[in-house]
Amino acid sequence: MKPALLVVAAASLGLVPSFLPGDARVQSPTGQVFRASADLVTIDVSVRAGSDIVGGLTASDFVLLDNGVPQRVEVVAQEAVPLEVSILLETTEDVPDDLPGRTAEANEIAALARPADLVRLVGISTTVRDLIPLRPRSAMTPFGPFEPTGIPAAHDALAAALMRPVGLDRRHLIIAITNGIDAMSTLDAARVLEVARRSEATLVVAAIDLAFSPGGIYTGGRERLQGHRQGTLRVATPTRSTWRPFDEERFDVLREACQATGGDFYLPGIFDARTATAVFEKAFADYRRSYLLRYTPTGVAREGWHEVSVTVPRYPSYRVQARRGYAVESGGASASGTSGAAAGGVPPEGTPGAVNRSAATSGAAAAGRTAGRLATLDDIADAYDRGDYGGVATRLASGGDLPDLARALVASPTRWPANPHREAAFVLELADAAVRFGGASGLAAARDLLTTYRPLVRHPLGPDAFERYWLWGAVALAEGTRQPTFAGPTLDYARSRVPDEPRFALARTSYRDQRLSLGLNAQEGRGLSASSLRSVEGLLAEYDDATRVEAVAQEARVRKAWLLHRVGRDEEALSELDGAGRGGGSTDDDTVGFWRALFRGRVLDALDRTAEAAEAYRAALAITPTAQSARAGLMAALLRSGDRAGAEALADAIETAPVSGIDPWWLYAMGEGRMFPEILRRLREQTR
Amino acid sequence: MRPAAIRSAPAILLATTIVTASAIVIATAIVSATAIVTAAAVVPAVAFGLPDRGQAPQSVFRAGVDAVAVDVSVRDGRRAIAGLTAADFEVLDNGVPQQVTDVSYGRLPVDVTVALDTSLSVTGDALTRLRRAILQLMADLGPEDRLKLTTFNMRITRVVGLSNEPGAVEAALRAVQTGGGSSIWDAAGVALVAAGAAGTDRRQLVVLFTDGADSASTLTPDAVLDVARRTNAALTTVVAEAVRVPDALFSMRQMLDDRTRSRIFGRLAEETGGAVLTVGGDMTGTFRRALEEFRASYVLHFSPVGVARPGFHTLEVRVPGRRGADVRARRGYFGG
Repeated sequence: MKPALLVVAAASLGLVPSFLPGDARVQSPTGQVFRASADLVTIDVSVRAGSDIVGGLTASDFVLLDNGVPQRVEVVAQEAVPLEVSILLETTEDVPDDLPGRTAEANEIAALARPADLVRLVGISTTVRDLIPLRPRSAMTPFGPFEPTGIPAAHDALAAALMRPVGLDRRHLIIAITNGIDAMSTLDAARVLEVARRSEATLVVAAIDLAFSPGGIYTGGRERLQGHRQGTLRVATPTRSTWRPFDEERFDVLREACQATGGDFYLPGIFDARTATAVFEKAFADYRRSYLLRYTPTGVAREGWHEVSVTVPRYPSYRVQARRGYAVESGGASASGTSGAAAGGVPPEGTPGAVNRSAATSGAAAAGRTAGRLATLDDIADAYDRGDYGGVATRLASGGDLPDLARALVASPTRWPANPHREAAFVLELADAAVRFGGASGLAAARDLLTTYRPLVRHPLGPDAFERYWLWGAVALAEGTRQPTFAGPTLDYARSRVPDEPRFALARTSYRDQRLSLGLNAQEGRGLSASSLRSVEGLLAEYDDATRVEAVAQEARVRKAWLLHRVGRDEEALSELDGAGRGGGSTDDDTVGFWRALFRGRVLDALDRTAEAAEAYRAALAITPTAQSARAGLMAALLRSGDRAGAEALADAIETAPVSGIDPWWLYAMGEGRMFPEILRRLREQTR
Repeated sequence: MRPAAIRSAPAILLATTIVTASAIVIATAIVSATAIVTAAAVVPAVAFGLPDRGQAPQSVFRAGVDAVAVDVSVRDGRRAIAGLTAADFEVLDNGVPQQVTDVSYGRLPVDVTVALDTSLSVTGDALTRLRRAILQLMADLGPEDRLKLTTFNMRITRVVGLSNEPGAVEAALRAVQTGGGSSIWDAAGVALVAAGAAGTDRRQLVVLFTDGADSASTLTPDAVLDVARRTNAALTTVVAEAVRVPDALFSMRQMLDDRTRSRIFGRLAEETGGAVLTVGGDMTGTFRRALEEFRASYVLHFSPVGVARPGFHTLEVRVPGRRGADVRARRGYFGG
């Protein structure tokens, strides 16, 4: 994964970006705080009459309520506060002919800044990077030309810009020139909205590209979206698997993101001016004419979420735009929290402004509430870094509220900024513990955790080796829970990401096999219903497909045989099992070898070939001597053949077997779950 | 490995004690021992992690004589009918009338194996009441009776061996934890077979407590029925209301619906002379009734005549002088 994308993903999770490529002005996480040092709160407010900005208001015109309590405000001279301007310019192949013109417009926009303002230029393409690092406007020279390349990761770029650390003495204005279409991002528009809610920046997007599309604004946009979906545009490279699925248009969500910051999303046609320069000239002007209200909160509890309401009672028809509130974390100095949660964009659960709150969002609050937990998480991560995986397991087993730990992990800054794979591997450890020790809430937390981290491992150019391996771990973990609501979607995602991975294909088939209900007819020996028969035939065909891939052929045949046995086709099942055993009768995977032997026993039993069945069970026991399933099968076979004492000895052995022994049969329904410990071990090694 | 198995043969040949329980085939020592020795030679016990049972007492052979013992319960509604003699019974072996040579009533000590389903589906209040019921069952045992406690989810575990010490059972019950899938058919089969090893001078009752939602057995219900026919313990199933875990978990086994499960438990009860009890609010009463019904049974002995020895023998037991009485006995036995 490219570093820039990682930063974006981290930002979306509430993590503070600790670096951006090409950005020489890196700040510590504590630099990115709500502007409220010494309990002083500042709020950007714009007031409009229709689409016109209203100027000339004074402090007495505003009524500001902090958690419902009126506050005494003063108006800071906006004009005096310098800006930090991030210009986001789409440089993709999507708009190659437009790029020179856009670059020229970006230069014109930069020229709108004042000499004391700081300006940077960020390119939106497959990766997000600074084309021109932050520097004083006065020191800037015209930039460009740029080569069109890649496909747009607009959401990632917007989120990254929103999470940029900004000095306390500046206001951050982001202006984005993009068509609003996204084809590559790890984040969707909803995540951008989440980030926007917690960002201090003001975001203005001009989807100017749509204005140039023939046939109307939305038609043009839709055509472009459709083009991405269908691969008819040449930007549909490198592969279809890297596209973001466009299930719905997200312009409304982006607009909400902009408005949440006090900015706006300008669709062409709304204004007479159709160039980016014209749009942003107005945006600049409006921004500079907005108000900066400042106050010291009184009469309200300091910590927690503060809901802010700003009105201009004398002019009720005016539309007042201001952020909805801010949060002060417990234990922090003043309002200088360490994450975006303190930046004031995220309403708490249950408040009217709470929209699409993710685990990451709520986790930020949870992290703040439970500072002690974070220390525990640190302990665990420290042990992980030392390679003390036994210690990690022990700590996780006794780590208290695992769902809380999972949320804390999401909400806290990354421990491995230079090695995101390490964090992703650690996530699997934590999710595993949550599943095993966290009960129902732990299961949900694990599911959320994996879903949240999928974008972190998503390689923009298609799944790389790490992503495949990590997804395999996720699938194994999910299948190990035997929870359809966990295993099914995880398998679906892995299949969609890596459709050519035979293990995922087989896992999906065997999962559906486990879920197959054969109906009452089959239970009572009356054959299969027509629908069950269709399902069975479909699964058999899928197993047949899998048998053509060497890597999974043996397991596919064994699983197919077991399905055939379940529906009473024992002769065919036996043939499959014998076929799976040809070439020495063994398999590299001892578990599959055990299944094969055990199933031969069951099938031969069903065919009344008791002596052969007993031999098959013995073959299984030769692989796993204490396996309960094979012992039980052999016990019944011996009893049937008249060996009562042998059967009784096996019954005794079953009842007194050490509780540590694992019967491979118990792993059958877990699909890839049996691989999880080994996958985890390899991921640890890979990411050290 | 092989020598260890062969060493066990002399001990088997020397095992000639007889007093039987339930419907057990008392075969000749020569025939049975040969079969065991053959099997032992093929199945090296130690190779599979089995304990060396070379010195274990064998229980079912009496040299030179074939005899069959069968448990019979005779009830008038919920009341056990006592005081019957050999002359009151008619026994048909493969349809051929047999001479009942001996009858005992409530005389033999009882071994109760409680096989407790500790899967994910048996939790909370049901588990608490179950613990209480088992302790009461322990208290109801006679001085010569014993109780064995096994638990099963996917794994079958003997937590207390045959014992008449309530303290051990109580401690074990306190430690019981629930979770995982359920190997009901495996547990039933193992309990029935293991009970046979407990001794021939005692009667064997297996009480299987479960909600019936098997998810992990390797034995099929048919295989357990076959085991039931070939063993001598009575199997009483106490069925708790199933928790709908199958909807949430996918399982290794085709889940059976309630009707199918009930039918299988019913057949197991018929084959073994046991019963199927359902748990309402009074779990303690249910367990107590299971034990009382089993204890209030006759043990009939007869030596089969007029029938071929090998193969399955169907049994029919009647009490002609007690029309309307509920006569329960196992449906047959294997003649070796």
